[in-house]
Amino acid sequence: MADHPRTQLNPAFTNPLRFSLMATLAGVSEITFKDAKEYLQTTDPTLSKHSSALEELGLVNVRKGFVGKRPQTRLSLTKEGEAAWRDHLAALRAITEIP
Amino acid sequence: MNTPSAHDARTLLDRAETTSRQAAGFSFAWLCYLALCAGGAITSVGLAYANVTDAAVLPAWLAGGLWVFVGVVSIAAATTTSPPSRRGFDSRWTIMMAVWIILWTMTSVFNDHFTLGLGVAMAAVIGLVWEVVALKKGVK
Repeated sequence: MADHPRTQLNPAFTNPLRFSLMATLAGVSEITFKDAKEYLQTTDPTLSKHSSALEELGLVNVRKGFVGKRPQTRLSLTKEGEAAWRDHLAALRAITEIP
Repeated sequence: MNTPSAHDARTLLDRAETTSRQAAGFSFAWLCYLALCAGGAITSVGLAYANVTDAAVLPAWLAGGLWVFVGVVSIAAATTTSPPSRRGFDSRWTIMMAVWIILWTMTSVFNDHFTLGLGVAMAAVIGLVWEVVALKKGVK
């Protein structure tokens, strides 16, 4: 008997903000921390906490740099993050198809 | 972890799709590409015209070069002020810049073909359309 598709859901994406952050990063090449914060309508500490958690899991790349003298943090998906997100969406699709 | 119902899963998928699609916007870098292509087309047509009429080639180089200069110097500002670009932008940009470089080189070497100007204009259209299609298509 095949496993229920819920077993394929990634527990890292159950938090609503992490889910939205992954969806955002899946749609862009990369995004600045500031743009992501505004787009997701969240706060610096909250976004920082969740992006760091996803970075520790190897799913998100957090790149710190400078634009002129201004520090800028850029977020993007890693290859592992892309695959994990794809698998998570596939599991959700499979759940929608259960009669 | 709670198992989402089929309805919850559909809602999450819709939210993911909408969030991904709306996260990216049109990159202003393509306006710089438009300027580069305008410069290429002007130079190409100008050089071909000079070849046919024995006119001086300098005006063609100056007029085209001005647009190329505008395109090049604007790229940094355009990328800084642009909204986040759709995933795959780097590949699309690299390919279209390679096309432009090839056409610009051909224009410089074989400067007696009006059709090269059309080729550069086509590259501009293809680049812009490609980006718009990528934005509309969203992410699956």
